[in-house]
Formats: sequence, C-alpha cells, structure tokens
Amino acid sequence: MLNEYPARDQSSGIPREAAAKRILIVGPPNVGKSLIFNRLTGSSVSVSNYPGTTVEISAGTSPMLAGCEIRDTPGAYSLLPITDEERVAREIIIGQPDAVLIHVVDAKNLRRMLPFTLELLELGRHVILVLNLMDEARRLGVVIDHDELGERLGIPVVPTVATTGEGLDVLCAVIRDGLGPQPPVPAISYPREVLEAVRRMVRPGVPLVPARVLTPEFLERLPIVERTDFELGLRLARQHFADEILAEVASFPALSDTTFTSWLNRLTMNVWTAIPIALAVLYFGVYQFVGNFGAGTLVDFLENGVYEKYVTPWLTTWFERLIPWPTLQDLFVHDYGMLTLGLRYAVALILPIVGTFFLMFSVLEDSGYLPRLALLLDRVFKKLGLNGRAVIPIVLGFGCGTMATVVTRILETKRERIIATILLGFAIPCSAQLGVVLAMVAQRPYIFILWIALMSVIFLGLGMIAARRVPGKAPAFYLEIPPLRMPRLSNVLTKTYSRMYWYFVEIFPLFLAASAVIWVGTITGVFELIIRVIEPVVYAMGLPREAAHSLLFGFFRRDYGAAGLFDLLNHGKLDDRQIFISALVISLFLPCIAMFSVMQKERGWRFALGTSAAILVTATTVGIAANFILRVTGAL
Amino acid sequence: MICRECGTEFDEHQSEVACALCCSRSHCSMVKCPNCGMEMPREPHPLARLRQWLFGKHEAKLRPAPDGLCQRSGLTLAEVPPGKQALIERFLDPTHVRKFLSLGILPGTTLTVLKHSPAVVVRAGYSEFAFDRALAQTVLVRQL
Repeated sequence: MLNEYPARDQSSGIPREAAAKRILIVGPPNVGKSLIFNRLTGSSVSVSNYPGTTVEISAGTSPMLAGCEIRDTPGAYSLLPITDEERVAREIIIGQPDAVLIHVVDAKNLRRMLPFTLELLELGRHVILVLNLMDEARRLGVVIDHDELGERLGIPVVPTVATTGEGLDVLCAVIRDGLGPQPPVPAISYPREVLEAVRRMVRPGVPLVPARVLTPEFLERLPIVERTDFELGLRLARQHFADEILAEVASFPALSDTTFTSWLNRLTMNVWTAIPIALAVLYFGVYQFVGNFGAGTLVDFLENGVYEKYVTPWLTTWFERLIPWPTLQDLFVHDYGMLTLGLRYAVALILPIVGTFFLMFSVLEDSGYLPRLALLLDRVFKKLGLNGRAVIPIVLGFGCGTMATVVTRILETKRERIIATILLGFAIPCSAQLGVVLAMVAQRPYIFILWIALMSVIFLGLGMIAARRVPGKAPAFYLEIPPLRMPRLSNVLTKTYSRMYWYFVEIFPLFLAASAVIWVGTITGVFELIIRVIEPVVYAMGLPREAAHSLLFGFFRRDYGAAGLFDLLNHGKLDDRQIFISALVISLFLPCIAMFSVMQKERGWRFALGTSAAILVTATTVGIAANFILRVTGAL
Repeated sequence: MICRECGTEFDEHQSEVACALCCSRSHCSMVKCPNCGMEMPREPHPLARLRQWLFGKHEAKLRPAPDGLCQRSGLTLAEVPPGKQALIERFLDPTHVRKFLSLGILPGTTLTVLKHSPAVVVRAGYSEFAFDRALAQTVLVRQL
C-alpha cells in the first residue's frame, strides 16, 4: 500500500492522470526547495540556493513519478512580490493553473510560513505542504501533528528531511495517488477595507477571495500609506488564522541557549571576536586553500606535470602531421593556439583555482557564515553606498566576477546593483588574477602588503565616490541570520560541481574564441600595430616591451594578461618595482569578455562601455603614477 | 562644506539664513552654519570645487530624521536594551513595511533584542534577524 496518507475520498477526486501532470515547488529561499527538487528528479543540474541564483528555472522529470513534469521556482514569501524573484515565482504559479503546488517550508518556522500556504489555497489549487528541516525542528523540541494540520487545511502535509531523504517516499506516494478533492478555501476573516476593495474588483455574487483578485499592479496604484495598511491587513488576517490552527496542532517550546552552535553563534556576531574569525577564514580559506593549494600545488601539477609533459607535445605532433600549413597549425597549437593556450589556460590554470574557490565558497555558504559576515561589514558597506547583503556578490567576485555580476540581482535597488557592478569591475580581482598575482608577489611579502593596501584604498575610495555620485536612496539592511550548520559534504560537492559546470559552459567557449581572435590579430599584423600604439604607455609604467603583449591579451581575458606577466617574471625579466606595478595594473585591469557581456546584459551598453573605458583610464593612470612615485622616492 | 560644530553639510549660499541675523552688513569672509549658527571661514574656492566634483552638489541635510519620527512618543526597536523583550506595535515608515513583512515580522510579534552592534539583532521564534539602526528606528514597540 503506497498511500500512507490520511484516507481521502479517491472516487470523488480529480482523475489520476490530471492530478499529477505538472508540479511546481514553491516556498521561501533557504528551506531546501532545490534539494527536494533534486531528490525528486534525481538530477543535480542547478542547486545554487542563495537568493538570486535560481536564475534559470530548472525543470525535470522524476523516475518515481512517471509522466510528470516538476519545476523549481525562485524563492518567494508571498504572491504579492517585492523582489524580481518573487515576480518570476508569481508568474509561474499563475501561469500554470493546472499544476499541483508543493509548498516547502522550514518546519520550525511554520508559524511564519503558513500564511503563504493559505494564500496558495485561496487560489483554489491543489497544495501539498512539505514541512522540511524536520530534524532541526525536532532538536528544538517542536512537535507538529501533521495529520491534524492536514485535516484542518484539507491538504496533505508531509514532514521531510531533504538532506537525508527522509519522508520523500511519502511525498512521492502522495503526489501519485494521495491528492483528494479540491481543498477548501480557508475561511479567513479579513478586515472590512480589504473586502471592500476586493468587492469593487469582482462581479457581484463571486466569492470574495483576495489572493485570486489582487494583483501587484493594483497595489502599486495605491498611495503608499494605503497600500501598506492594505498589505498589513491581509497579512495579519492570514497570520491570525494560521495562529489559531497552530495553537491546537503544534507546540513550539521556548529556546534554550546552551548549545555549542549558540555559543559559536555569539562569537561570530560579536565585533571583537568576529573580526579575528573573519581574518582566519580569509587566511585559511582564501590564502592557504585557494592561493597555496589551488593556485600553487594543483596548477603546478596540471600545468607542468600533465600538460607540458604529455598533452602539449602530443597535440603539437598530431596537428603538425594533420595540417601541413604552419599558419593554420598556429590556430590550434604552438604559442597562442586554441588547444595549447586556450585549453591549457582553461583546464590547467583557471579551473583548479576557480574550483578550489567555489569549493570554499560552498562551504562558507552552507555553514551559514556569509550572513554573519554581512552583519559585520554592513557599516563599512554603507559608506560605499551598499548594504551588508552585498558581501555575497563581492566575496563571490573574488572567485569569478562574471558570476558575481549576475548575483548582484539579490541587491534590492538599482543603485546598489550599479555600485556593486562598478566595484566588481574595477577593484575586485577574480580568482584567476588573484592566483597569478599571489604567485608573482609570493616571494616578496612587502610587495604583497603594499599591493593589498593600495587595492583596499582604491576599493574604498572608489566606493565612497560611487556612493555619492550614483543617485538614489541610501540602502537599508535587513537579513535573516540562519543558524550555523555543519556543511554536508555531498551538498557542498554538488554545489561546487554545478558552479564549475556553469563556469565551464559560460567561460570555456570564450577562452577558445579569445585564442582564435589572437590568432587572427597576429597573422593580420593588427596586433603589432596596436602594440606599437600602447608601447609608450607600457614604457611610462616602467614595464618592459613584452608586457605590452600581456596587456593587450588582457583585453580578451584578464587572466591571460596576468598569466603572460607571470611568464615574464619566471624568465627573470621583471624587477621588484615592475612586479608591483604589473600586479597592480593587472588587478585593476579591464573585465574579461565574459564579464563585459554580462555587464552589458544586466546594465546595458552605455554602462558596460563607459565602465570599461573608465577602468582602462584608471588602471593606466594608477600604473603610471605608481611608477613615477616609486622612482622619485626610490622606495622599490 | 561641513559644519565643525554640528556636522551639518551645507552650501555656502545656504548660510544666508543664519547670516541674516548678523549685524554686520558687509560681505565678510565668514559663513554661518544654517543649522546651529556656528561661524567659520569660507572653504577655499578650488577645494570646494574639487569636493563638489567628487562628491556631488549637496543641499543642506539638516540632521535627517526618519519620517514621522518627530511626532512619536513611544519606544523604537533601536532603543530596547539587549536581552529585553519587546512587542511590535506599529511601523512608522510605510516604505519599509514590506521588508518586515517578508521576514514575517508583524505588529503583535514578540521579539528578543540580542545586540545593538554591529547592527540590531533580534530573535523572533527560532530565527534571528539583523536590521541596521535606521530601519530599527522605524519600528514602534512596547517593552515587555
């Protein structure tokens, strides 16, 4: 017997075929929606679950539920949207009137999340309420009589623990055959003003159900004070209804404050202990793991151990045999070939660095540390015209600026998104650049410190100017601080994998394309011409002529440029001053082609071109100025 | 320029408000803060120009107070001492209400204030939330 669920009148229910054709997973962010989606579909296509990264809506089928399409939706707290994600979620829910809705909530916060279930029920849809994170709830002593709750609401209620898979078989069984008759619309007593407004919008005789009638457009037309009262009225009425039910079916004991995570929790939120913790995370996570292990050990192994020894000679021999014309050979192999340069950079140089970074970022994300960092840095970020939330795109920017630019969507106002994008473009070196820069300055700690100091000054100064020049209101900071959790290895690995997959699909073709462009530029002589033009600039920065090549390639990929300079260093062609200046210039340098295209998509042509031009001017000016100052003072 | 006494930011021409009260009729080299009346020398011209170019033109910001804050009589969330409980009565600034609603924080919710720095951190139920000071000042509460 598969149906373990409270007996339902199967005969009067809608036909089975129609019951489970389409399923939408809805709910607020960070309650495990994506994980449940992945558990049901058995796929790991997209699990990135910080707000803003369910950018593309994943859809799949389940091996356990034949002939049924399951879709994940972006995080939403209500059908009346505030954020872009909620707007998307609303459109999907409304746009698929025959789909069954699986509402996933955090069991311990059921009180806060049940009003959304009521809102969904008002639509007159089949809803299944999933109480996820039951393990955390049980640990806190929360007891929920889910059968009774389901009875009251007239819908199936399934407790689950998505991380271990507990309860998901029940969920499948319910989807397959547990859907009963149309659930009743909850009898919520709304305040008179709300009902009056709803009455004006429907024909007489139609039942007054706010969720079916109210649209975001209608609310936007109201004056703000009225709209606020209206929304508060709606929400309070639903909360009241939910509280009355929960008072009888669930108990939420008071919190005891003695657990280990609670102790650690305090430490990460106290300024005096949080700063050392943040520095320790930075040192071990970024410097040791990404810098030393990823950019050092792994790159060394792949580049010198695997690529230089086996792959490159093998490819070169084959292509020299296959293609008789040296010019065409150059497209694939030799110094700037697509396979020996493009592929080598992508696989042997960038992938290990980005991979280790994404792994570290996933651990930080799953442990719940990032919101604490946001809390700590909020005041600093306010000075830059951002709020604490911006730590997520900014920290991610140290991994990949392109991905980070997409993630600026989590910021609330256009102004914040613009400022964050500017900072990412100018002053946040991505992991590929960082890896090369760290390797360049690794033997010379004083240069490293000088470099960090100057980059911080540029980052802060630029942010402060941007905060004053970009018009708009000052941002507000509000954030839920999730409990600290021990990250689960399988989850961390899946996340890392899906990010690396994204990186590979988005960035990899561009690597090859850049190689091809460089090939065309070299054989047509266009590059020589450009190099001759930028040579004086390079000399003004006190760099050798060969650096012009690297800077030119930096137009195509920042890390190309950085890697080129690194090569120069290895051949002993740079002195200390030149190392410092080239590290500085390459960190500030133009965004790569991928980031440019994302900037154009998110912010428009004018912004992308303007920012790029400004970056170019700033990088060269800073380079020339640094050269001049260092020469005059004789410091390096 | 910025007043040295009260920190108000203002343009030179705005000092006329305060200068009108001065008995000296002639054009002098001093300006007065429109907020507190503190007298100080004019900012050197090129410096003022640079500042304006960098940071934009500023109208006087006379000690900003969140909307409606002046008329209130009760306590705001930002004033509840850490460790104490408070019951939310009303939101003072309608533009911020949706932010609280999305976190499930409504009038009638009981909160425990945990700390004030680096931001206001509260606990409601089993969850913790952080707000900056400005936002916490728009929440009218009753201390329990």
